[in-house]
Amino acid sequence: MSRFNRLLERFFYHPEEEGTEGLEASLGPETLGAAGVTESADYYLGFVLESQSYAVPIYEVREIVRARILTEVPGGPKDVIGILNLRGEILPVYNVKPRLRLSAVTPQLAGPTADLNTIPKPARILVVHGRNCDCGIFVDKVIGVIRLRRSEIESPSSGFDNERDCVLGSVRLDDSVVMLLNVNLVVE
Amino acid sequence: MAVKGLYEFLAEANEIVDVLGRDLLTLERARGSSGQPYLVNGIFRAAHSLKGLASMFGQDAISQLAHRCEDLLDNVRLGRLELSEAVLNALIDSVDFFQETLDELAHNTPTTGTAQRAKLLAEKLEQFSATSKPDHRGLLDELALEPQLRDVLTEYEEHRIAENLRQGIKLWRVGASFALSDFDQGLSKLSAAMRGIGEVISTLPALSANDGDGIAFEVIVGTNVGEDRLRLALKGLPASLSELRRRQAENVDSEPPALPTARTAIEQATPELSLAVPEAPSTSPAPPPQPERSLRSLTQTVRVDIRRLDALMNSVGELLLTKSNIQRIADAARHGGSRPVSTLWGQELYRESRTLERRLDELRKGILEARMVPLSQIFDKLARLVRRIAGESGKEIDFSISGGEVELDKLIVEELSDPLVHIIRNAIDHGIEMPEVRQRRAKPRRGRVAVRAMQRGNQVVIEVSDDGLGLDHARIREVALRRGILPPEQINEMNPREVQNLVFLPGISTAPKVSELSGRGVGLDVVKTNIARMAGTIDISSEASKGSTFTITLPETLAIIRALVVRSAQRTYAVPLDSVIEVVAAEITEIRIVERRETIAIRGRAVPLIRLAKLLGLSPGDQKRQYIVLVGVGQQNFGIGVDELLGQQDIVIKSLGETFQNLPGVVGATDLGNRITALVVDLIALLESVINSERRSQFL
Repeated sequence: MSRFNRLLERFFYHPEEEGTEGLEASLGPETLGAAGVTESADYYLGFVLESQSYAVPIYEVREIVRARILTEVPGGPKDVIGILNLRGEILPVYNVKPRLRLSAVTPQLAGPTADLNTIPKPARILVVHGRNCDCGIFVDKVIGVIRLRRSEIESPSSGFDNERDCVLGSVRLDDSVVMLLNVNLVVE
Repeated sequence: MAVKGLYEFLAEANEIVDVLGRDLLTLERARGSSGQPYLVNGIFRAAHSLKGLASMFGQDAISQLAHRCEDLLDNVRLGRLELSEAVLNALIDSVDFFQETLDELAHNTPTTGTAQRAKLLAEKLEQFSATSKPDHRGLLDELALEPQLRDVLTEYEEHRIAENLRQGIKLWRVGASFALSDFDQGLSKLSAAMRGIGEVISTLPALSANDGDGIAFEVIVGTNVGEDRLRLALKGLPASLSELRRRQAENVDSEPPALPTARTAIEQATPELSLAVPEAPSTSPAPPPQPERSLRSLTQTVRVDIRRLDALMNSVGELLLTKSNIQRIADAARHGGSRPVSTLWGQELYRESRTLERRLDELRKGILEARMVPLSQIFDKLARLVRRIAGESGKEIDFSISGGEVELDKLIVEELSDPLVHIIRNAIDHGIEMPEVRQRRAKPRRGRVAVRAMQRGNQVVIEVSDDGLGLDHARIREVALRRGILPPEQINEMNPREVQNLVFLPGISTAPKVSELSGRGVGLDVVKTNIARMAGTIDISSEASKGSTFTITLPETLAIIRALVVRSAQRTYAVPLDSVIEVVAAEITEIRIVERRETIAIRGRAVPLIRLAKLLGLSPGDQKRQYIVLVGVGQQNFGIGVDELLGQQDIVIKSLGETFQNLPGVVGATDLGNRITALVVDLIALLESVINSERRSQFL
């Protein structure tokens, strides 16, 4: 009977499957920049890749889903881990770490060696609006919504690597640096 | 301008321009505007709408040119200007300009000189100034029409009455009174009835005192069908009929001979639509060949009959009911506690799930139907294209279309437009001979190009035929030999049909010179690939100096197909069943190696074998047993080895998107249920790409 009950459980709709639970857990109170509230601010979504923090403009993020097994596409572009079936829509999911020169290791989310146990629990897939079509970006962790004022953003100085042309700027948050990314360039 | 606004503007403007183009060509075929008042009026209103729409969205070039067209057409419909061939040509050129400008907007590729071209066209239109206003007064004064009614008539209506009189068409007064609550419906019914048998010239409120709770109208109708027929058409309507005669006695000067009212020309949906393309006027130089424009729609919209949507709503309603039932049954089991799962309960669940399956199927069919559009969407655009190409090449073409009412999924119709354009261009550029040449060969001077569509079972067949030169087999063989496409012995041994199919290989062109699109030899192979992408096939048959026919066969809908689910290299794939000849199981021991290639004997014949994993660039496993999926590529059969057969099912193919553009053989992805998303693999395309690259490496 327990197996039957388990089957029944799958029949009923679980909202938390869509990953919103994860997002609510990781969203703390809105983090504000240093100065007051007088200047107009933009909202960004912060996330972590290999213990480095990044953020993208919030309107570029369509939704956030839990990491799940993807379908491999042999012969596809190198940085595409695989494709995600999001409620009937097929989206490519990118691993942006090589582009940002963070790591050469691909998360094992597709193909016969795929194993969700090798993926850390906080990992998520950000579904973003790309230039031509929507796509997914694999991230290790979602920080939450960050509110920034233009004055707080430092443009990329010459000290940074010129290869990182997808970086719009950076911001100091608490004691870490958050790099602001241009979504289109990251997934090119 | 906001992007959203642009999209809506394009959708609406496109529709107007399509109608304009189609109606102008119909007028051209009918050779003039007499007897075509609805059409001329319709075109006039379309130009007017376009002017307003364009100006609302800041599209000044379009708006101003549309204004000139509107002025010109106003003169035509009021009888001040004759719709000559020159005028028609100028109008059609304007429509071409509208279409090009809309294209540029849609693809965000503005060209310089748009304003210039618009100005030139506008000047051309202005050249056709109105002749002096024809005097209707004499004719109208003769009619037994009350002065009050006479005064209310607009210039257009006066013109129409005079025209009808001149053509010897009888005029009638139809009086009708309706209740205030629904007079609009009644009036439309009356107008529709009259429009079917004649021309509704004017609708006026009646002079007789109106009742408090009703309203009366007078409709002036021009028709020669005879009083009995008129009364029959008015049956069931609260109408009275009387002829509008001349006031004077019968000694009027001889009436002009009654011209046949070509009413049928106005009726919609003639089964054969023939378009005689006029010769390019000798005075103006041949226009420079325009860069080829795609005929695809600029927007992704579909017009859906609201009844189809109502049926869909019903299906969804039924589905909700079934879902509730199933939920109730499941709930009972969940909270039943110690109650055992009984057979009865199982039967109930089973029954409901069967109902669910049926309802889902209805819903699926309903949605598929909503996506269907008639082929005439593309065919109408082809007519304009043929006219232009014929003009550019100096050839005379009779273009006929039939089967425009056949419906196909909108996606397929869109994908068809480029291949059809290419085939037709081929036919006109290289197939049809110049008029003098044709005459010398005792062929009719005008070449014939025909496009026919027909439904065959759940497939649609489209034929494009011409009566031109036909394929030159010797030349094809020669070009194939010269380019080293295939080894010489193979080419020499080919039968005529195989030689004809060589034209679908890249690099084959027997054209002596290269035109804008055709002649480079990059066309027909792309056409074939595009059609294969839609799970269709293309064939060619030809007879020397008699002509050629391309036959395209397509499935009705792209969206859902039956597929074989297989596993290879520990991954799951779906293979469309259409391409599969059969599947056999084989032990590893049955596989032989012949000339370093694996082969297997199927019913005594050796078939080359290749593992699916290898085709996809993956490492094959070492199963003891393989399942061989037999497919045919050209004349040769191939066996594709897979590790497991998981069964057959209906799948919905979802596109992979632009990211994966150039993957040969991967058609899309599908949800197999059980949370497995599998790639859909076209085995034939995969094989062909591997074979071609092998061949190329052999010859290089």
